[in-house]
Amino acid sequence: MAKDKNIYTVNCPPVDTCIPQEMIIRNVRLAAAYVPYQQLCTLLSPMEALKHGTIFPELYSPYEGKDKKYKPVSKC
Amino acid sequence: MLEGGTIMDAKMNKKELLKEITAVHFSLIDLHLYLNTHPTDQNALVSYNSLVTNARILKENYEKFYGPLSYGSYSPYPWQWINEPWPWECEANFKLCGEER
Repeated sequence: MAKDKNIYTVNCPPVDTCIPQEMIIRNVRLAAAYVPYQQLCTLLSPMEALKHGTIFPELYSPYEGKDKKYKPVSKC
Repeated sequence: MLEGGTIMDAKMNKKELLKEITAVHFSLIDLHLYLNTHPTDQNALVSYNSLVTNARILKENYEKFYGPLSYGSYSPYPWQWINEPWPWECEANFKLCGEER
């Protein structure tokens, strides 16, 4: 868990002000997913959005291929 | 978001123009998804509509010089649809600068 948190804080920009952190979920059920409601914050430029895979900086969550067995995409 | 000059340049580099169109279309898709769950977010809608305008201008600009990008677009003579690049060719699958993969 601590390791996961580290991955996110290292690779992702700080977004605490853009994601509501005060959310409290009551009557939590097992095997159910809970997703915080997204709020519009800043948007990336179209070219940056294409590079990041999302226009929303809060959703940028790169996969670190070097940690896994991972083959880079063949180049043209 | 887009520099004014980028759109206004009558004849941008073909590849750069295609890249810009791809970027704007991608951004439209992401905002489209957001608006599906946030239909009353006016700021998001303003950004979306502004990108729609940009996309239209960029696409019209490209098609004027390099032929139709999709079905239903005008073509100059001779018929331009068969022009390169085809979707599977390298020219249509550019690398993004700064991209690691």
